[in-house]
Amino acid sequence: MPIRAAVDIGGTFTDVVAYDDSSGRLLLGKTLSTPQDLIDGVFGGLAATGLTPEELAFVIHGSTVVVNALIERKGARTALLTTSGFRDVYEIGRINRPDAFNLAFTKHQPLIPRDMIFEVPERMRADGSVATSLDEDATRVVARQLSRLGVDAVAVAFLHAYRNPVHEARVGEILRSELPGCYVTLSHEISREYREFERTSTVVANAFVGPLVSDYLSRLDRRLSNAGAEGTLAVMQSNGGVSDVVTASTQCVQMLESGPAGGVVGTIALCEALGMREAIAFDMGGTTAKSAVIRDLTFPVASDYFLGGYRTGLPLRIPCLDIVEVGTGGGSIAWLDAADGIHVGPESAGADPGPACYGRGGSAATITDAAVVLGHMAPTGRLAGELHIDGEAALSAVAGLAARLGLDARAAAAGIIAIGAAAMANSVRAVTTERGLDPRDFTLFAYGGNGPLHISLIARELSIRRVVIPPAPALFSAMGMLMADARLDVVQSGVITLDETSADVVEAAFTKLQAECAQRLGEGGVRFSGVEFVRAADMRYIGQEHTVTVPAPALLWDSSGLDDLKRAFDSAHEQRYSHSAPAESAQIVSLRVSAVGKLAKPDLAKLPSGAVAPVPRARVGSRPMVFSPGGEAFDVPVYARAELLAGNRITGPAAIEEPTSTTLLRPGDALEVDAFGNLLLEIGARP
Amino acid sequence: MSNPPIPSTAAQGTAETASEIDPITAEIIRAAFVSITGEMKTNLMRTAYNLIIYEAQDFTVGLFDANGDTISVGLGLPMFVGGLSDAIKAKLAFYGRDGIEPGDILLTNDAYIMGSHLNHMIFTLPIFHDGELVAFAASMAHWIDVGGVLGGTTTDIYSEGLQVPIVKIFKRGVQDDELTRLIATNVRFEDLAMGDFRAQIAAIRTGEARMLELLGRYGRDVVGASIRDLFRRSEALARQAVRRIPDGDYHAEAFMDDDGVRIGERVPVRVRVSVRDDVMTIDLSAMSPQVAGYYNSGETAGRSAAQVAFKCLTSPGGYPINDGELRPLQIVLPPGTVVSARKPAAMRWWMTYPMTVVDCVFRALSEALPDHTIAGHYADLGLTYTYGIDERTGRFFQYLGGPQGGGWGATSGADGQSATICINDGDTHNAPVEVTEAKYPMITVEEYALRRDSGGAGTFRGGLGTRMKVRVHTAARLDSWIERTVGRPWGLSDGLDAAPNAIRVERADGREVHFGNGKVQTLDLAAGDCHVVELGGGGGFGPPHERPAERVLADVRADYVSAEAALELYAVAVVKDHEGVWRIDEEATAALRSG
Repeated sequence: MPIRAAVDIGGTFTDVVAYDDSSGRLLLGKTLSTPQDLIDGVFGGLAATGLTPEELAFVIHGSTVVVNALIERKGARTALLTTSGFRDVYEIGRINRPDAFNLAFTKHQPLIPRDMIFEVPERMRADGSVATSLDEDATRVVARQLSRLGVDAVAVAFLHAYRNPVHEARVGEILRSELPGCYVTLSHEISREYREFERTSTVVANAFVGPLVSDYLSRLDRRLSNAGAEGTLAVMQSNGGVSDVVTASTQCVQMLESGPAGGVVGTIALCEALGMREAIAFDMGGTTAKSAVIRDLTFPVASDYFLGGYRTGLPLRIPCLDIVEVGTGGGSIAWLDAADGIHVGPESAGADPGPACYGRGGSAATITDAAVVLGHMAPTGRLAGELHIDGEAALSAVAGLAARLGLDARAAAAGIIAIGAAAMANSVRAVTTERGLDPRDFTLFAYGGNGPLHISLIARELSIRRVVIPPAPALFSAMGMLMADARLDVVQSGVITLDETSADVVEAAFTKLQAECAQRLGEGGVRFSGVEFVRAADMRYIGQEHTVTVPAPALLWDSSGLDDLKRAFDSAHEQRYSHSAPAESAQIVSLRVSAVGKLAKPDLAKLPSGAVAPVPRARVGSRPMVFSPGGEAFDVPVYARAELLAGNRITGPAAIEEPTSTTLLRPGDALEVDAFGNLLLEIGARP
Repeated sequence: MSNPPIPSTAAQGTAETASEIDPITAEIIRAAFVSITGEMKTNLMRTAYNLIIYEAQDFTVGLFDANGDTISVGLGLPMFVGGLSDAIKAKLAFYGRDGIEPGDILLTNDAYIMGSHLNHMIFTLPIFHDGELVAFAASMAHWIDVGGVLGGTTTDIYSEGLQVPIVKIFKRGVQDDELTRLIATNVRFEDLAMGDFRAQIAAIRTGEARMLELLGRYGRDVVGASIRDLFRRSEALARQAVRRIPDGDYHAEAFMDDDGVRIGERVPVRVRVSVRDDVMTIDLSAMSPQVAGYYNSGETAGRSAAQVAFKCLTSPGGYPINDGELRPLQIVLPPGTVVSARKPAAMRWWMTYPMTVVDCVFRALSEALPDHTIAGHYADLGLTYTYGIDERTGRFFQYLGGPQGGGWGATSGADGQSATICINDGDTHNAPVEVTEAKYPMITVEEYALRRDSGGAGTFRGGLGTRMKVRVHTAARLDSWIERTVGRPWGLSDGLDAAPNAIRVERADGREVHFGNGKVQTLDLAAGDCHVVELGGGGGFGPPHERPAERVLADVRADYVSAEAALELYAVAVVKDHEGVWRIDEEATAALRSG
């Protein structure tokens, strides 16, 4: 059967979106995630779509399995091998104290203790030449010690291995022969960017989760085929592409942000369909809201990911979705400090007990409770996963806080929503204005369970007028995974001064990386129809430390090639930082190559056309709502999204409901339903 | 105005907490201030040319009200907490409010105004709304060179480089080309300096644009009211915290090794703290008089040291730094001390002494606030400076070694952190060895490691210091300014002191050169020589004998603590079993500990 399915395991829900190539039918399934064994949720989600595994030709899988294992620190017994003299690189880290006035601050907590870190005599220089040859005998002695210690995984991170990996590669061979069955991961296989702590942290994380994740993926693969699925299992990665199970099992950390990456891939696909090239993808869930900016239909990638946040987190240097996250979600708790100042988040009621209105024992007022008090969300009714909304509980939680502020419950609820929206708008500024971009130039795509409910106010804060709500926004990340291509990235550090090189040299370096990417992508188990390469260079002016990533031309030839690159860098710098120095010479610090193998995609389903006015049965009722802290409640119409047709227009205020998500139109807003069933919102001016 | 105040239906408590603005708008605007200074910070960090700004975060940006009081700052450098505000107030005093016009940008690096060395260039942009001066955006950044003598010591400000008094570098929107050239002519790395100049201007223009957006949206009255609301709430929180400290008079003292000129002559650091109800007074009048060497700092630095200590003790997790939260603090600091030096005192290494002042405040309050203070830390940046002509290329190079991190003190509930930047700095990073070696092919870092037994023993152990060994492959010169090589980081509540800081040179032929006071002045190095910097640990907290034996065993297994130290300091006998695994000798330990 020609059915392709994407399965996205999130913290609370497991979402399935399946597409039948022959009929163009889209099937959706949502079920609670199953932390005991996440794989059960995959089958639960498939069952919710009404599909059986035998019908699946291709399954794309995104999962929180890696994040969970790292956050909960449930990984393998792992050892680390370092260059002699540098055993403590991992523990020393970068020595910074972001919490400068907190005497109880703590640094990053290494995943493995110091007594599992061993030095090996060897040393490379920065130019890749050998300063001290690898001591193979000493390596074998360490390997046998690891064998006695019963380790399950070994990470190897030698200085300057990004430049010359031969010592790491040889140690890998020795370890694999001395420790059969042990999961071995070498730093240059995961990251070839310089900065030894970050690379070490990355390779250790990969080794730490490696045995568990490779076992998870092979079990899933096996259970799917045992259940009759004959198709290929592909794994969603943080770089916006998919890879095969074997590759994903060696590059486990690439699965970190697979869910959010799916949403951004989906946004790019929708942009293409709608003829747009620039967008902000905004994903608001229960605990956080995530923003990513898409320019020229390009998946945004960065290499500065921190697991567990910047302050105390572990850095992971992989090409990963470039996203800014803020601790504001539906479950974010509103609270008062000792001077009666009100704040919202980052503490969250999470999924359990969840907001007070979930009726599962939560008593703190959350953003979702405020939305219920204001009528934005229905005060009764069923949520996904057998949860029911308890409007009374929401009111009593918000009223408690309101009394302490001397406000009535509705004013306090409107205030909670406004503070949350302002915080989320500030996080959108972090991916736009902080990078020299004007958010008003972008269309905002809002999804996740809570995105459509709050986006109108957030867009107003940013003076953004165009907002798109895709169909089934709560499952949009899974939908996006169906739009992904196979992808493999290589980032290679090596400082090149433009004035001291030629276009031929840089072109040769790019070509070599492309050949490597193409070969590795081709060796993977995911079949694709053609390969495209995307090139970029991390560049800076001589004397600067920080780099800007600049798209590089597909072919650099004669001296004008380097001039073009330099000009592209000057203009990127000017755009991002509002100044540049065209007269000064520049350096390339790293080259980036992505190989993208094209996969078949679903055709976006078309909706039948209707009149300007929705059919009468689309209007399913009304309820009183409040829109501002001082505002009165008045009756607002409620529509069922499932009954809307292409061309329908609705003028705000209104609520458009669908399972697990509500789109809120504030007074002054309007929407039109497009041919694909997207809600195209025109946001009113800021009041 | 978009958000009408919501009428209050209940009393807001005492008059002290009465508000002229609704709490929702106040919170939204407060968050906007933090977002603006965050954006200014990102902007400056990423566009700065020199590594000290980007990696060491030796900068501070901020927004200030029309009086120069701090609304929000993007750190940067914690010990510069008051530097921007003081500089703005001095600029206001110099020109008068009427002498500052739209389009002006004011500049100074006056060491005695901002309390620190001449490398700190402070740009200030007045923000006008409807023709009225309503706020300031300012940025300080450390320029890599401002002229002055290279290497050795200095004994007055004139030998430390270019002094820029309070000037207008932009007048009504037009850059002063003559002043700019004068500055560019007096610095060693003009391109870097001018790159940093542009970055600092861009950062304050960002602050101006966002602040004007806020003023345009909410109006001057509401923004003004929310600033006052922020000050008021922050002050209330800080007063609550001070009220929790028992009233009393407290004091502590320590000493610095010497000032680099009068070798071996200790420099006393004496701090008195008194608490009365909700007011804390930090009295620094018994500090050493200003010194001959360049370890002096100005009054702003002395005051900032007191403010940093106060903030750590009263509101570490509260509102971001603003003027209000420092109002319950009174500071007594007469001019002429080593942290309130007068012209022409040498100031180049201003950063070191104030750190020990901060630690002394924590020490003074350790009996009154046992659960909120911290044992002493290594209190030094541990920097070295290696420079010369690379024999292989014929080019001048200068390599700034460090910061490499040392140990922080233990607290009543946790071990101290190892390998962490000292309190002068915050989000400052070390230089990755791979970056250093790519940039400076004439040096090799041969070791960067934790120092066993450097943390002070205690029920909670102090953090460990680090050792870094650097070899040069060309003839070069070495300077260093390492302090606290004699005065150890102290333990609290019967916790023990930690190992102090140290530096030595290992010649290519194996001879070692030690430096009794940590200060190396223009020492010639030959190709193949190494220098080794060993930074100290943090003090321990509580008697070492009360540390659970299992934790001592874990420390021995991780090699943080030697078996010898486990026995002598912790009274835990740790022995290797037949498989070479460390185990506790239970009997011996019981005997040792029962005594």
